[in-house]
Amino acid sequence: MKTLTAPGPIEKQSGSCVPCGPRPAGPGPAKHPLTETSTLQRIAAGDAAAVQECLDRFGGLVWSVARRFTYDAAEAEDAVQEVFVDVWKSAGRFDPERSSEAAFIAMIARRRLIDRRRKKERAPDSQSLELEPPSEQDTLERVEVCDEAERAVKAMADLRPEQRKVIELSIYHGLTHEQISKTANMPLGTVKTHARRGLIRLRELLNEADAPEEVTG
Amino acid sequence: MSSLERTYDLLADRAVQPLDDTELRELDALLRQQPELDDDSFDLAAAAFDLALGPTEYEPMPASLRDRLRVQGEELLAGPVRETSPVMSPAPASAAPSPSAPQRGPTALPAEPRGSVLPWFLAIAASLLALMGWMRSDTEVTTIEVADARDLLVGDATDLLRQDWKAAGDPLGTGVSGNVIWSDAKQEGYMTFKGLAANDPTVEQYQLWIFDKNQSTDTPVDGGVFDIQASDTGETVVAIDPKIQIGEGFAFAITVEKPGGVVVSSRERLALVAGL
Repeated sequence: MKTLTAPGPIEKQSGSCVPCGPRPAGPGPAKHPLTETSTLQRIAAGDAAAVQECLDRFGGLVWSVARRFTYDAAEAEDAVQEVFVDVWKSAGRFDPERSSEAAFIAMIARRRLIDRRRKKERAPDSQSLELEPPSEQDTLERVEVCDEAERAVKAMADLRPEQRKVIELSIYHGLTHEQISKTANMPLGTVKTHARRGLIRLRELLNEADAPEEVTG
Repeated sequence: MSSLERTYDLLADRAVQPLDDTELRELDALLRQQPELDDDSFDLAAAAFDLALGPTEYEPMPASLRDRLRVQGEELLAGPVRETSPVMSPAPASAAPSPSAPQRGPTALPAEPRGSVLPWFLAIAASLLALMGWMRSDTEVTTIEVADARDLLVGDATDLLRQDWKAAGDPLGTGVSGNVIWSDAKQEGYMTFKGLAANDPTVEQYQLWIFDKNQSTDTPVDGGVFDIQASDTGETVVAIDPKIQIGEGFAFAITVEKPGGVVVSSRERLALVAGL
């Protein structure tokens, strides 16, 4: 049983891009060689073949997020099924100008899992939380998450250390503000402030990175 | 603290952990004043950092789960095979089954043949039904469970409210029959439709609104968005997914909205009402 300890620093990703995997050309979502549309756009258009492609590219990502948010494999399977039903039906809302497909799907997964947690009206059992990311030897699937992940790592470096710590415990490890307060030995109000200010700042930094570069001269 | 700052605080909280009912009501009220703030940006930021903090490679999901999802997704895109009385799961924003709904309940079977029936026919029918049950994909099991869950609620709830749908003006709601059932005690309910027109979810979606006696009728509660597919020619059952606790539900309305639904409906396209 793992103990509830604060995670280490995040330098392991600093300055490096999360692998993007194969892409036809440049950044942005993977495009179909014939139609030049993304997997999600093809799903929205009713292309059933894109379903398998979507599962191949993002199945591991969703499974990984679900395993972090749930207690056991059976619950994770139910959650993943809900997430992908949502993905199939929400594919038409994907906007490649706003996010990568990986971020869009991760957003759906997180929302669905947080909603499940709300409905169950129970907080995660801190004794069973896995606070260490999966080790290299346990992982097999690569996922294309380069764009936002790289910008997020850079933006994270701009946060104050205590904000980074709270954000990481909150977003990655799924701890509630109350649990972070106990884990990090911080007053609850301070935790809330760090979490809110940290995410608000991260959102600003990401939006700044999203803005098109000004052409001068 | 300004209302904008408070809205940002709650949106930031919502992106990382469940809000309680008080917070949800407060955020709902704030977003009614500034609906443009509800733009997914906090959720996308949290997702981006989740990706950044996560591993570079992922453990694959179980093969059996992947196969089920593939079948489910392909059937959904192609238009799922429906039985005589098809039922459906709620659409994206309301896809989660009710906590009290069975996760792996028995499947609904077609009604028994009535009247004079030869024993051999029953034996063959039973065999066929058993075979169909064995062959039925998990997708169909999931969709059938919605009807099962509705029937369970009808049997269990002691405070069940039932209202019939009435057309409310929008052409999509013309000629529809069916009803809505709701239990305050269980915070669970289901809509049943026959004849509700199919929608294109990339263009528009149906959205349910629940009127609570404890709140003004100007601010009904979002009951979730859902879709009707062209193949849904029989009876369709959709689970209600209220975004916040309902104190005393008494009426319901369905509007036609942009994909994903809205925080505040203009009610310009009111398709159906019940109890109003």
